[in-house]
Amino acid sequence: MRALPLLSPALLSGSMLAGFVLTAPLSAAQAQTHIVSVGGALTEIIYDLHQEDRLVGIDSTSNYPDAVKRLPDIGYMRRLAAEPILALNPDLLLIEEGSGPPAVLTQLHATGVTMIMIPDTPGLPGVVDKIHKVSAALGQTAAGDALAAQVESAGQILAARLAHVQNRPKVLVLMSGGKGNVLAAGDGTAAQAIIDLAGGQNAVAGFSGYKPLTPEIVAASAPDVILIPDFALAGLGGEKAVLDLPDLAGSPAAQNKRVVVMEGMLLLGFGPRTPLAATDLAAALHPELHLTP
Amino acid sequence: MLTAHNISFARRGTPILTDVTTEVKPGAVTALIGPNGAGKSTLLHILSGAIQPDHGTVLLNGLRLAALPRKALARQRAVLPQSSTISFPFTALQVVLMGRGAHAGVTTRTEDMAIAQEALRMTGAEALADRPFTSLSGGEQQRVQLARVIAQISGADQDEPRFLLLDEPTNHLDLSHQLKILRVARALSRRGVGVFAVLHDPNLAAMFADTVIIMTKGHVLTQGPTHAVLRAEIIEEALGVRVIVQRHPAFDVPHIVPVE
Amino acid sequence: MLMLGFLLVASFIFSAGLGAVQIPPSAILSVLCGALGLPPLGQHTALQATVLISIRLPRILLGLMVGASLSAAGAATQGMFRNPLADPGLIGISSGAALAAGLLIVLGDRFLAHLPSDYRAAMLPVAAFLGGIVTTGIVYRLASRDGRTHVTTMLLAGVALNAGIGAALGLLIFLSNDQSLRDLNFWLLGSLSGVTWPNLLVAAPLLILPALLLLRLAGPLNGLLLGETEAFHLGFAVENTKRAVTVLTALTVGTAVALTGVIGFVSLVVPHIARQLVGPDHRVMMPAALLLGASLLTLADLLARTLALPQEIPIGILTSAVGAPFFLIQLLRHRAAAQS
Repeated sequence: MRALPLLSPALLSGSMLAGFVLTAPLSAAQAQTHIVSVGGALTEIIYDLHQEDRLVGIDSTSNYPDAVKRLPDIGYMRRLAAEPILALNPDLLLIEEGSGPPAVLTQLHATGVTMIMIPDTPGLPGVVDKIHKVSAALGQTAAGDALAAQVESAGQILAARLAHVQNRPKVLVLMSGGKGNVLAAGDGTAAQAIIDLAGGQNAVAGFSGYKPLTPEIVAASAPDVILIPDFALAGLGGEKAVLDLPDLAGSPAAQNKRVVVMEGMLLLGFGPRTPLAATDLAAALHPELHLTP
Repeated sequence: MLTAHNISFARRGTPILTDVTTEVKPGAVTALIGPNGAGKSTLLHILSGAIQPDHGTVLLNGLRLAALPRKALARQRAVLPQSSTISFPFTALQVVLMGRGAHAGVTTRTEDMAIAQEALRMTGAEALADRPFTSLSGGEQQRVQLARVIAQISGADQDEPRFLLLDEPTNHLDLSHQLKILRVARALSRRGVGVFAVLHDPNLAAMFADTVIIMTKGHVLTQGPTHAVLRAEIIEEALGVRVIVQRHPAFDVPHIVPVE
Repeated sequence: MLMLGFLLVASFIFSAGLGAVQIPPSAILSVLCGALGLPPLGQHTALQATVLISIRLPRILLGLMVGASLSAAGAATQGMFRNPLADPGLIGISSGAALAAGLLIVLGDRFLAHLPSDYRAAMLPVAAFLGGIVTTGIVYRLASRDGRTHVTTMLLAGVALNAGIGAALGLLIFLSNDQSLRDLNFWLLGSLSGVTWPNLLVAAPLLILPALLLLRLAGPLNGLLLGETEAFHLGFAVENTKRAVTVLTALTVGTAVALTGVIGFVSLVVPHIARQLVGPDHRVMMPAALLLGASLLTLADLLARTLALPQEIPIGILTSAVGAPFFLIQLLRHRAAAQS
């Protein structure tokens, strides 16, 4: 964020970035064979469209399928550097919203490489939108439509199964913790969205983003289930340590030992695997439904 | 001639100097003595131009001190502080060369270097030239500083008399260094420089000064030739100590001995 | 001084050649000739040209200028405070700039949400710059009375203000969300990445002119080392010098922080090394520090962007990792010298 444009010429390029989504030359897209994908969901979509041979680089949030690991990693999507990306000689950058820093995006854009920004909205419509945008960028609209339909129908099946469920277990998502106060997910987060899809409710509400909570609020939230992304588990000291936290010890979740640990990118990535993730979570939240993921 | 006319100065309402008129002649040593709080240092700062008096004027060679350009002033009068600290590893010679700052563009580097070497020689500090200033003893540092202020007012680039103001220059020094410093000051006066020295010890004034000014409580009590001023009743009145004034056993100067 | 010039050229060539994309010296020349409209001297790829011209060159130039600016400012500040351990950060420039940037990052989301985000991003360097100037102004005002500036009071005011700003930054970190925390961190750790030509061209005069003007104060700064009264007696314009050092330092350091965030220890350590190489005379030491700072920051940035490929290490972490132990050693030597 530091080296941002002081003057209007550079400002202009910033707004051009946004405009690019609409003006990307789709006809020429077929030719692009050196694609760098920034964002795990985008990489998954490219694999699902069987276009992985056109990939030359991925970011560190791209960890599915396992085959991606053969590709050069350009680092964490929010801390990109221009040179390692350009070193791959890309002809198309697919970039998920939230990547940065913005100055580096401006810089990349200034080099003339084609960049397409893909919005990231937690929820199934957001996933479908990503699929359409990525497949359009790759000139694979038909395959994209098929994939989108698959995701939508998987979503509809789960929604139908959950339609009659009365109880919505209260789920507390812990993103990190350790010595300090636990970091919980609030409104508008990917965690909140996946809980909604899986027929649960967020145990804490009334704040947006991820916030450290005071132990008393955590205790008062009385969650039925504690949900932990796998990357946060070690920091929290393991499942048993979580259940022993004084602020959680008295909760229904601790009494019934209901801790769910799920792969972080599957849970929060909002890509084609999201219906699967939601079904997994729903199975854990509603054992009475005997959902088979 | 460096002259002060009807100088008054107050600090936060407390008068420090009241209607002081005095002069420093070129070619002579003028000593200023008096008890603590008499206003000696303040008068020196006013004569140097560092402090502006509330009333009265200071004239340097007939021109108003306050109206002189900084550099012209610096080429005509220099001030030796009681002591100074430098926290950077300058050599003694570099410190002396700093005295030439106001001559930049007037004299050449070679001339400046020759003047600095001569000043170090005058103060017997030529052997210290390449030593770091911070590694010198207090007495050695003061000799180097004296060389610096001598270098400041040396050079053939002007005709007017120059003045050297010494602010208790012998504080914290051993007897040998006290005498060395004042001997150099007197030698300088014999070359035409007007020397003004604030001193604590009336005997040092007796030995080295041509003219003595005695101040108490912001007033000039008396001023005049050393013999005329350094008399028992005047010193008793000024310093509040009973003294006998004898003839110095070795030199033809007064020698003051406290008797209480 | 010749050696320092050589070091500068060498660090330029190394920095231009090394990175995620390797560019041999012949290709550098070839690209540069091409950019100047001359016939290409040798072979280079289009990728090498793009990387060198749009990414690496502005970044290297920024490194050179920020290094020179911070070092000249550091040398002048140490002279003004007559203290070899002083630093422009002491009088609040860096932290003031960081606070203004932080305020905009964290609170801008809440109170300026109606403005387009591009516009807010463009305000960031401006805010940082103004923050640095305002903080310095406050410190200067607190330390001035009757047209004179008391250097000790200025130092103490700087320390007090820095402490207050530290608390305010802590509060901002507490208030910030995930994204703004990341932005804030970047600002506090410093980085040269992301600079573009338009940024660089606007900032260049603000970085370099004050640094060069500071060099012109070398004589009076030498005088100031003897003490303020002594400097006056030597014929130097003491108050004007102090004012000029403060304003010029605020300008150049404020601009540097606005572009790169807080890059610690450069302004403190580089003048030290320069003093050990060429002695304490500001007329020689300041140009030496300027050249040395330019070289060292460029080399530090080379490490920052190549050590952890494909990621970059914030350069402030590197300079502090090298600078802090160096500073401690100096401090211990200082103590040993004072005791002997």
